[in-house]
Amino acid sequence: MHDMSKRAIFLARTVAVALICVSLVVGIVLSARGAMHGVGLVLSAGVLAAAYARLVLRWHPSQPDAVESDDPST
Amino acid sequence: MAEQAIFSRARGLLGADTVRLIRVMAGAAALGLGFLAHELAGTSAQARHPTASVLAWLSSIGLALVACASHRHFALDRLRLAAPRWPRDRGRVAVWMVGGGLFVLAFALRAYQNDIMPLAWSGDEGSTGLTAVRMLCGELTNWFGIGWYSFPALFFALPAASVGLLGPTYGALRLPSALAGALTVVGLYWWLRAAYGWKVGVAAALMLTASHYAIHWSRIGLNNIWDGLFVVWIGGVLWRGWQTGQRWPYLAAGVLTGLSQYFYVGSRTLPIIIACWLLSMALTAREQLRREWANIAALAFVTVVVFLPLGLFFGEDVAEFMAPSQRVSLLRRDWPEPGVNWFEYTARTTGKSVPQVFIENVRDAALGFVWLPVRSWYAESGKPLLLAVPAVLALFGLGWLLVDMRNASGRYLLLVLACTIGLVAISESTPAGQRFVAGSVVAAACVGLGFALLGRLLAEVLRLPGRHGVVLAACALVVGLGFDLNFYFREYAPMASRSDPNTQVATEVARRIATYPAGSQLYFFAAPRMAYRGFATMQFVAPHVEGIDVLQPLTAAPDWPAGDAVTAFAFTPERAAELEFVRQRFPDGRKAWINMPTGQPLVLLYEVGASRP
Repeated sequence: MHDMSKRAIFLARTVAVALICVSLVVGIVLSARGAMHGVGLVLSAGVLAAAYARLVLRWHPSQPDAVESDDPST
Repeated sequence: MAEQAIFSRARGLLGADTVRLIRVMAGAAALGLGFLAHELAGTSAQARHPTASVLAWLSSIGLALVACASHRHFALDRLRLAAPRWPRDRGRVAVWMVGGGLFVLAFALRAYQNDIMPLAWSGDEGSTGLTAVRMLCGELTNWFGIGWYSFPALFFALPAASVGLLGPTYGALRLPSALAGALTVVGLYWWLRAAYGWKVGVAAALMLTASHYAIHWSRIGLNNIWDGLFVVWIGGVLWRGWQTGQRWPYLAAGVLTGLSQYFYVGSRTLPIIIACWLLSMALTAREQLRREWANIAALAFVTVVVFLPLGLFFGEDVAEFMAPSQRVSLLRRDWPEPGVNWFEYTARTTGKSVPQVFIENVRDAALGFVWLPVRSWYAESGKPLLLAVPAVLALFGLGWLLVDMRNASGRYLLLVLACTIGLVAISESTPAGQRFVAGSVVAAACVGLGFALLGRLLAEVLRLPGRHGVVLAACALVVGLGFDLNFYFREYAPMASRSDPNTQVATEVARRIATYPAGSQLYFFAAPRMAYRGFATMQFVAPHVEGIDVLQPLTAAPDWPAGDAVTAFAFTPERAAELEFVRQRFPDGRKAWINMPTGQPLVLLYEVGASRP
C-alpha cells in the first residue's frame, strides 16, 4: 500500500515536471518563431513551476540551498 | 527591558502630554511652512524669495518628521545608552560590500562615455539642459513650479548641479541619470535580499545592472529613470516597515513618495499603488493593518507635506498638472479626430469593439516586457525590455509572484507591474519605450526570482544537490547578462543609437559648433524640416554661438556681415543648393559633407574663418 502511494506520488511529480518542461520548450520555440502565444505558454510553465516548487517541494526563494524538501517521497 | 527603561525616563523628562503637544505643534507648523514655501515661491518661473521658499520647504519636512517620529525618538538619552551598531557582524559588512560593489559596477556601466553612448544628442535632453542652465543663470528659481514641458522644476536642479560643475555637455547632463540608475540597483539588492534572500537580491540587481534597457535610460538626461529609483526604494522601506512595525521606514516612504511627485509623471501612480497595496493587505492581514494605522497615517502626512508646495502650485494651475499625461493619453477627447478618443476612433476604423481594442493594447503593453519591440523612444533598438534568456527567467519569476500572492513584496511588485502595463496601454505608441522604467525594476526582480526558481527545479529534475542547480541557473543568467551588455554596447550604442535624421543633424552640427570660439555664428538652413530654435541640442552645448534660422530659401546672395570668429552655415540636403548664394558672399569658406553611416548625405557644413579643417 505504501509502495503504491509512493509510486503514485512519483508518477504525479514526473507528470508535473514533464508538463513544465514541455510548456517551457514549446513556449520558447513558438516565441522564437514569432507567435505571441509562446509567451503565454512560457508563463504557464512558470506558474506551474512556481506552484510545484511551493506546494510539492515546499520551497521558498529565501530557503538555503542545502535544505531539501521534507517530503518523504523524495 | 532597556527600551522600557528608556521610555520611562523619556516620559519622565518630557512628559506624555508635552510630547503630544510637541507633535501637534510640529505637525501644524509643518503644514504652515508648506503653505509658506508655496507663497514664497509664487507661481512664476522666478520665485519671490527663492532661498526662503526652499528653506521653508525643508523645514516643513523636518517638522513633519518630528511630528510623526516614533515615541522612541523622544527619548533624549537614547543615543547615549544605545550600544554601537556598526559593525554589527560580518554579514552586515558583506551586505554593504556587495551593495557597494554593485553600485560601482552599475555606475561605471552607466557613466562610461555617456556623452557618446547613445550617439544621439536628443532635443528633449537639450531642452532639459537648457532648463538646467536657466536655473544656473537665475532665470528659473521657483523649485515648486514647473520647468520644461510642464515637468516639476525641482528635478532640473539635479542636472543644473552637474552642468554647473562640468559645463554644458551631454556627459554632464546625463550624469544624474547614471547616479539614479546605480542607486536603483543598490536599492533593489537591499530590498530583495531581505525579502527573498541573497540569491534573488544579487541576481535581480545584476540583471538590472546589465539590462540594456535600464542602462539606456540611465544614459539619457531626462527624468524617466527616477521612476525606477522611487519604485524600488519605496517598495524596500514599505516592506521593511511592514515586517518590523518600525516607524522610520514609513516616514522614509512618505518622504520618497512626496519627492517622487517632483520627477517623471509615471511616479504619480505611486500613491495609488501604495493605497492599493494597503487595501490588498486589508484582505489578508487586517489585524496587522490595524496595528500599523499610526505608521500609515504618518506616511500619508509626510507625503502630503513634502508634496504640498508643488501641490498648491498645481492646484492653481490644473492644466499644467494634467499636461504631461494629457498630451500622450489615448483617452483624451478630440484626438485623433473631433468628438472621439483614440480607442473609439480605432474601433471604428478597424471594425473592432472598443473593449477589444483596449484589450489588445493591454496585451501589447504586457508583451513589450518580453516579446514585442518597444516603440517611440528606444524603438531603434528593435527589442523588448528583456532579451530572450532574461525574458524566460522573468516569466518564471512572474509565475512565482502569482503563486506567492500573500507575500507583501510580491504584491507591491505585481501592483507596479499592473500599473505600468495600464499606463503604457492608455498612452500613445503602445508599447512606448519611455514608459516602462518603473516596470523595468519589476522585470529585474522577476528575473531574480525566476533564477532562484529555475535553480531549484533543475536540482529537482536532474537529481542534483541544490547548489548545483543554482550554478546551472547562474550559467543561464550570466549568458543572459552577457547578451544584454553585448547588445547595448556593441550593437545598439555604436550604430542604432543615432536616432532619426533630424536628431542626427542636430547632433552633428552641435558637436561641430561646440568647438567654435565665442562670438561665432551659425546660419541654419533646414526649415521647414527642422529649426535651430526647435532643437535645443545646439543651443545647449554651444551657448556661445549665435544660431540663426534661415526660414525662407535664398534666391540671391545675402548681405549678412562676417563675424569676428567663425561664421558657419549648415544645410540639410534638400537646401544644399543655396550654398552657391552663400559662397558669392563668403567665397573663402571650407565645405564639408557629413554623411549617415549608410553613406547618404546628412548635412552640409560651410565654415568661414574656421582655423581647423
